[in-house]
Amino acid sequence: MVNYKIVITGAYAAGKSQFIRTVSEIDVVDTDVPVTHAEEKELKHHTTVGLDFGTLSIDAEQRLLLFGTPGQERFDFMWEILAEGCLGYIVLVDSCRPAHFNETIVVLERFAEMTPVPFVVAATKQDLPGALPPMYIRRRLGLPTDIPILACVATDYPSVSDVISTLLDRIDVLAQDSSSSSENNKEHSHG
Amino acid sequence: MALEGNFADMPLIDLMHVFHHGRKTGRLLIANAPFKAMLWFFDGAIINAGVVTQNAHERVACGEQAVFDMLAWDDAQFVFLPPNPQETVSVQIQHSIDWLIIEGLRRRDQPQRLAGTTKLQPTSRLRLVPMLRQASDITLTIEDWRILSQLVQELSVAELVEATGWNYDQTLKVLHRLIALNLVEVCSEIVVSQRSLSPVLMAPNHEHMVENRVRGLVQAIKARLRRTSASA
Repeated sequence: MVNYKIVITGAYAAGKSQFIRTVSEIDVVDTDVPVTHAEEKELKHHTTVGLDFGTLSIDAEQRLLLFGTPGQERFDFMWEILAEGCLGYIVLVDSCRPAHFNETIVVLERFAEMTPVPFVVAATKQDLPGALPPMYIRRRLGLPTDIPILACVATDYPSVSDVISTLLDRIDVLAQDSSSSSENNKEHSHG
Repeated sequence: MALEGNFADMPLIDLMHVFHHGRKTGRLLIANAPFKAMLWFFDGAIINAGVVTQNAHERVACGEQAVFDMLAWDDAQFVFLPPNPQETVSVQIQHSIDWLIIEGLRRRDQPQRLAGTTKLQPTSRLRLVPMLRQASDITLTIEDWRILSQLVQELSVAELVEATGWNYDQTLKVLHRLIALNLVEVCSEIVVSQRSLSPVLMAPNHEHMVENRVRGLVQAIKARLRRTSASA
């Protein structure tokens, strides 16, 4: 069995655990524990201290592994371990909590330092009243226009699937670019 | 749960612009002790507003004046709620959101607040907003046009100071106004490089093998996602 890895990351309470639960074909293995900090308790009752883990079988011999990072910065030592060897990553951002945008920028910067693989950003909780539009979130995060930012509802399978497919498209494009640039290099060296 | 936060994280100006462009209908509840306030939006326009005391619910301001009061708050908590079907709201405000913002801040002479979360440095690069919106009841000044006419290409604040011949503060004042009107924006500053593939996929160390492997894998995963979606 060959395994491929995608990492789901983002700030605290962005919906990472739910995102994996929605698409995973196994019961998600998680290490959620009751929240202890009073401020965090207002947002959710359980939090991921280690990782969330879900799988998606591609065929009889290949499997996609989905790893969710713990959201709080005090567990960010885990991020590097999870990012190692991944195909790409998805950064989730809560569309209803502008207070978390700065944390998301930290996540984006840290992952860009750790790994050069493709990524996309998903603006979650788009089904809630007043959810901020992805275009505004792009501006607040300072995201370049070539990085996709998608509207997402983490409880909705088609929505989650669309985000993963967009990431796969970026991986695909990168593979083609790598191939054509190596062809050009060969032509130059032969010429 | 709904959109909620603090003006320190998302100023009222940004909220007003976002609801206007998203043509939202609902109520923005704001708490700034010892006051609380409400803004009513209908199809993206502000139709009514009121500020009352938190405990006695005595009226402090209503209509446009209430909006001007709220624009001066820096640290208020807010939550956006859907419209209350039991409530009938009369239209007390006729002016556009742009007019309310410009007029509210002109009265307080705080041009730097106009730009909301945008912080300008001499090196900040600016450009025209790619999708200009429809005309509103705001009249541009000669100073506004002078800046806009320079932005046929991206320019930094320092370059605009040089091009206009104005001093730095005067240039910033006009730029803040144009940013608040959503006519000018700061170009993205985060630089992320994505040049290599995952070590997992690079293992064969042969370009064609890598490309075929990635493409095959991507297609297989997408097919798998489609199958699950169809069976759901």
